[in-house]
Amino acid sequence: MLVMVLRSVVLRWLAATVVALLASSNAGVTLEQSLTLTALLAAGGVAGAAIGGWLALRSNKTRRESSRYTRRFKSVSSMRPSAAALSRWPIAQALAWARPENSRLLLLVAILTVPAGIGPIAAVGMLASWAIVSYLGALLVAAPLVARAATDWLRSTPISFSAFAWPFARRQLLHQLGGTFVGVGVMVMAGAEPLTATYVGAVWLALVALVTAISLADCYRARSPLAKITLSLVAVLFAEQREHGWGIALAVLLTALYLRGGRRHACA
Amino acid sequence: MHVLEIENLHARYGHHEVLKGVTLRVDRGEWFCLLGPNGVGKSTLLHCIAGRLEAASGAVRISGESLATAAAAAKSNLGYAGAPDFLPGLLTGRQCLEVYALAKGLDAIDTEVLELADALRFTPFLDGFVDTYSLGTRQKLCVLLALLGEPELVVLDEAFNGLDPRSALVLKRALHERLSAKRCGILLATHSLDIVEHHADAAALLLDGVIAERWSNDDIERLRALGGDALEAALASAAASV
Repeated sequence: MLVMVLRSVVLRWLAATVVALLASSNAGVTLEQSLTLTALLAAGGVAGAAIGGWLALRSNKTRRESSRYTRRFKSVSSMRPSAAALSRWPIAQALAWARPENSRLLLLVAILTVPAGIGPIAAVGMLASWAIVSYLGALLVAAPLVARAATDWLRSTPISFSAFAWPFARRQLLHQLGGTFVGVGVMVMAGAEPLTATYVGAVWLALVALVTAISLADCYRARSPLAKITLSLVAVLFAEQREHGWGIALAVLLTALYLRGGRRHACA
Repeated sequence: MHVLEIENLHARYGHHEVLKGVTLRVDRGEWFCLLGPNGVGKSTLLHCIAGRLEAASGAVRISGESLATAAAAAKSNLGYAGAPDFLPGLLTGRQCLEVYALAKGLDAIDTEVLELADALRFTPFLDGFVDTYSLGTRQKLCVLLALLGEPELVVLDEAFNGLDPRSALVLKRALHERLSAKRCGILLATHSLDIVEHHADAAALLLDGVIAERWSNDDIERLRALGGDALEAALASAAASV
């Protein structure tokens, strides 16, 4: 392995030297500048090879086969009952959907939406907005699907609704909250009215809370949440269209009712 | 004492009635094998016991607690190893054990289960994601999850399917240890006559949603004494007579 790394470094360094020497033949570049560049490239190559080799050898020692689609979580040295993994599950699912073969399509669509003639910072801002929106959307879709999988898996245990629901929802709601704050900030920077941007963020968070609550309550009771989610979203959006704030209030009310319904169910 | 009592259980998927009045009991210290061809309702029966499918009628009691009226109490005495397909692929084995232990309300993860994980050579896979596991490794995880929290009833659905011979032997010994100490009763749905022949204390043949034949411990001992293919012949005869 060491021979392979050294061979690769030497070949690259030789290529860089040839380029530097060719450049020195140009009237605008002195030989001294070329040699400095070559020396810097050599030093960088050696340092990079050393760090890369060390990392490769280090990871070989602890390498275990991991999922192709999600990053590895840090393992704890001692095992004890914990719901931490339950709260990471929806996020792991959203990240699994963001695997390269899906993300590249989204990236293509996002790039096509960038209008010609705008500055690089605005373009990067637009792409970042796409990334945030797609992540938050994936997280929202993951809520009912993962809640279903989790309750199916835990069905034979005596886990209570509150012991299941809060750990399950906690981390993804934090991500939604953080993502919404960033999204609102990006909207304001892009020229939206702060009040309008905040309003959009509030509507989004109300919908997230509603979908999560229905998913948790219905999946815990071994029911499919899809019809209820669809009807509730239609009702909330209709109310919001009639009068600003009504939809948000309705979403909060429905969220509380669904959570109460789940809590009253004795056992999954 | 019965750790599992099922009385006149009926279950259906939509209009299709899969279980048509099943009655059976499993005692503490007993290894009960549920036999039957594919599609006769073995897994459906286990799903009803695990609370994954609501019975249309009839009763299921685990350690005396009714699954219908005291589900939490009944499930706290249950260890269920279902099909590995239900395991969460995006969690690691370690995370599965941690979450499951929390779901069972345990304060700590049983040392005995961790020792069994070691004996089954599962420990090196603890930090790997479940979706990278082989069938046998998933089966091991299912069994380890089922044995968490000292359950009085252990329900295993084809648990030896995919296990290598060494791991199967380790698991059989671990289960026998629990049975001989009268710590639990085991209900195993299986196609393996070898397990019935060498390990079962009682068995039943499920056909078309009903128990078609039962073998007590004495019956099985008698068939064992006959040797040869006596047990297989008895099963074939029972299936043919229905």
